[in-house]
Amino acid sequence: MLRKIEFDNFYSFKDKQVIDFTTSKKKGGSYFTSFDGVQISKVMGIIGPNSSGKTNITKLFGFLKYFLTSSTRDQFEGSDTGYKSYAFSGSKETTITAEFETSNYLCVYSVALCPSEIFKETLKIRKLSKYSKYIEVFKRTKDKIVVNKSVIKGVTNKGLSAVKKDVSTVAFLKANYDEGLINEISGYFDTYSTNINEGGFIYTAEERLAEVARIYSRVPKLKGKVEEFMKNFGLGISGFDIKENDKQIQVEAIHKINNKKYSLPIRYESRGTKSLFVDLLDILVCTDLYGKELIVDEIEMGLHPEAVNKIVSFVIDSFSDKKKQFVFASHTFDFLKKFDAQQISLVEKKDNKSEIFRLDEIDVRLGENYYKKYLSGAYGAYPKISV
Amino acid sequence: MVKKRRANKTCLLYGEGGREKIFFNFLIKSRKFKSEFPQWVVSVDNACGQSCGDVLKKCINITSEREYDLVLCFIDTDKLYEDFPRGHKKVKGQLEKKASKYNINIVWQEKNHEDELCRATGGKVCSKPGMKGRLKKHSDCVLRSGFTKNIFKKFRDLS
Repeated sequence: MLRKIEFDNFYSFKDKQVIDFTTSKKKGGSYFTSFDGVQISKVMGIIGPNSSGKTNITKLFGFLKYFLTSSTRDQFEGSDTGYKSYAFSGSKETTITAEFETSNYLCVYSVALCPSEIFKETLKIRKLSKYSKYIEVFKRTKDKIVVNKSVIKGVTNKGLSAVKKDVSTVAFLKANYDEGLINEISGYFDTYSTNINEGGFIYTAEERLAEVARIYSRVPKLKGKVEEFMKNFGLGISGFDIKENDKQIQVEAIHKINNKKYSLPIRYESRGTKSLFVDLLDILVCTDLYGKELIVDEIEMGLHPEAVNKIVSFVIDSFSDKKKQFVFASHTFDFLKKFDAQQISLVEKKDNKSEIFRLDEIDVRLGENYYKKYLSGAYGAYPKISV
Repeated sequence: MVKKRRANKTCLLYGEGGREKIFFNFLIKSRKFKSEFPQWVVSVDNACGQSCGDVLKKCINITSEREYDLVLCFIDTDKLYEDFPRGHKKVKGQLEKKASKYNINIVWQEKNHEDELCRATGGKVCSKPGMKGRLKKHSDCVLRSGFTKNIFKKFRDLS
């Protein structure tokens, strides 16, 4: 569970920004009370005009997932840590500090890097108990990595000398040593379900259709869930017929008309239907299976605002007794009517620099209608269009 | 959480047609407005040249979904006189009463916006074609006019 992320020089964000999930004021199903009494919000809705930097916020989560789990795969050409700095300013340092809870530890991970190499990296952990203290797991400088060998056993200096300059120490240790603590930390980021990758690419429903259909075909439980879920959306679809062979996969939506079944290849279905079919995979994996954090950019993709509203409510209800979080960026604002100020973040761009702030940083009045106030422009992060 | 930001003051300028929209955008982008009312965020919208009652109705519909600190609804009187040649005073009163229920200020434009602007600028800015350019050319004159001053006063009263 994420407590806080601080970062700077990341895509459109130049100056230091804080995404804070903690609050000391609230209690209830959409908050998790941690061992030290800190309340952590399970949900955060991000709003702002087009091109304000919302997607770049979701990219940050995608980047952490890639960087801490699979940067050893070397999927980029040359030396590439997998992100772009502000104004693509090459070697200028970017810093990211993430404070998060895994099943057993409160962790503080910090990294200073540029798009081609890592300058500094540290990981500190403490057990989730009141009187525990932070222990440093490793400390990396430009030329050296020092690992606390009482925490991570079996790591040699020779082995550490093989870490590439664009690969995180966590991802390296995970790939090369079967170590419980590192598996837990890397595993935490690996369970992020998101529709955006570290480069910020949002996969459209069409692009993900085959991949998602293959997963539904191989996990009948998930297919059953998505069919059940979609029935409740009044789309007139009673199920899906998925035929898979070595070369291709075919998906047909089953429509029932006067008790007769008709099949229609899914490519002929509406954009909203395809979006629902695809996006529900991430949502159901996260709500029903192993996912820990659900991060969705542009949650409305082709969906009616009421459908978005219901999906948001469904996820929040599903997370009420779980230690999971849901972060989404959206251009539909109904959720402003039900979220607390601590659960709403606004992103706006001034002088070509993005900034993110939580609604409770503004002097909002108690009981204020955030929805109406936001739409009137009172909080900023609202489009200024004069056509 | 430290309160480090102040909420903006918000306003809706609602007019009858496209001409008003050009004028409103000119006003809120002017250096005078920006320097005097930096804390204000102004939205601009318009109906499409309908009856006075319809303009107000649409303005009410828009504001019911939003919460502005100030709403100015600009309505032309020529249509009012045309639709209600005898009872226009009564209808005017009724519309004002209805508007005040929704916290809307009606700004009555003598005849119509075109005429109001023409009078305010001594004939320098009148018809719609090329209005943007002429507003820019005679900006000092427009900003000094009584019509503009009255609008700015409404902001000043709430600042």
